[in-house]
Amino acid sequence: MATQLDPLSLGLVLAVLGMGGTLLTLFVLSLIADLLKRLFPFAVPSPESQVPSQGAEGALGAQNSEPEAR
Amino acid sequence: MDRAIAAGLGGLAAGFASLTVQEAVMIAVGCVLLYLAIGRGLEPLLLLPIGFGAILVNIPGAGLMAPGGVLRVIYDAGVLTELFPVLIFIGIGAMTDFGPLLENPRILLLGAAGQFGIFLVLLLALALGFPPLQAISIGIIGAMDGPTAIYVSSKYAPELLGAISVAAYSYMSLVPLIQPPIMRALTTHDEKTIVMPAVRATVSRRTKILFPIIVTIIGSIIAPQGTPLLGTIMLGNLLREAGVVERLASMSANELTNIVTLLLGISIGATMEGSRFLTLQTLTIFALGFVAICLDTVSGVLFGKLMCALTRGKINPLIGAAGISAFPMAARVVQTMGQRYNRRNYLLMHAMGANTGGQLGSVMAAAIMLSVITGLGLG
Repeated sequence: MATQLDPLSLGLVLAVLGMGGTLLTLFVLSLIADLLKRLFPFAVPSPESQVPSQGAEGALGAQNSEPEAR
Repeated sequence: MDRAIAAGLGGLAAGFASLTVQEAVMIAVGCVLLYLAIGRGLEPLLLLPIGFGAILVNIPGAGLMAPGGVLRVIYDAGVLTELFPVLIFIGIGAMTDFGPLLENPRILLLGAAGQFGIFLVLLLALALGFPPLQAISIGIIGAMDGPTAIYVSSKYAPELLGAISVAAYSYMSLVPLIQPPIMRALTTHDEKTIVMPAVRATVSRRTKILFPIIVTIIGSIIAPQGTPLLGTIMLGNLLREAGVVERLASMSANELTNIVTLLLGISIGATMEGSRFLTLQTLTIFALGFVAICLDTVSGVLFGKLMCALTRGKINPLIGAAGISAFPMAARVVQTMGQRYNRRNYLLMHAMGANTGGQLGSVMAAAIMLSVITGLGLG
């Protein structure tokens, strides 16, 4: 097929498919990212349920929570 | 005895006697690259080994790129096989935090707009008479992503690898000089001063773990030819986010990346033989590379303006300029410019999100390009 296209037509085909394809794919990925955020929302652990954790939530939860009064 | 001394001296002088003008110029070019890396701090991790490789390969009689030569062995093993770029992608993935992007997934679209320069320069290269596969490799400079440019050009136009790689890394280091005038020209004062709210860390660990897995599956099914690129960057990111293989994540981000960067840099430098590099074609590639980064910035900022309009002024169009893969330089440029016009404006994390979107976008753009040209029967 490519041999039948002149350089300008080939360039236009690649540009349209390339730009459109990239935009569409990233749009789909952004929807997936949005869906993941909704399905697995960030939860700040309550002070009672806090255990030492290396995960992002654990670290942030520890930062955001008030120190326990002892 | 006198004859033997003369013959021995002749052997020592053979290098000087056979040094061509082109080799001398390329040794000087190698020294300039070393100066830029060491003296100016421009992309030193790559420009230093590239510059030194350029010097080594232009030493007359050394034969480092001759069959069996040490640079030829490294080049054949890592560049011709496309191994080095994909190994570097594992390291890049391990160093990339998609958190700011996942905070606001719609800015991923800026990462797509920031790749439009690839396709526009591809058109331009075809119009200038470059064969399709060379034009594609030149266009990929617009990805502003060294490993992607090296992967594509080593696959489709290995004869242009040196020029394309040096152009890509040089322009990446010049982002702070190239982008600001374009950003200033394309945005109004009101747009520059739009304040975006602070990014809050509200992405769960599970989302961060699932994101690279799902992106790999979906992206690779859409553009299978790009799986080596997408799969490796996402593997690296999964190592980072999984939290259970810290040794592997650390090794990927440090030792692996460092070793491969050194070998890749020397290999690229080794392609800069004077007789092949000093051509009008090389200058044209550098000019097209410059146009590519300018068009990337233009399309990114214009798309940012579109998103600004669609969100009724909630997005500062300046962050569109960060939709390229040059990380984190582009994000820093946006932060600096945003603060110049409004000192209370902290765009850095938003720009980081767009910048990581640009990294993903450049890989996806290359993947889609590879699949399209395979579909067209070109590759």
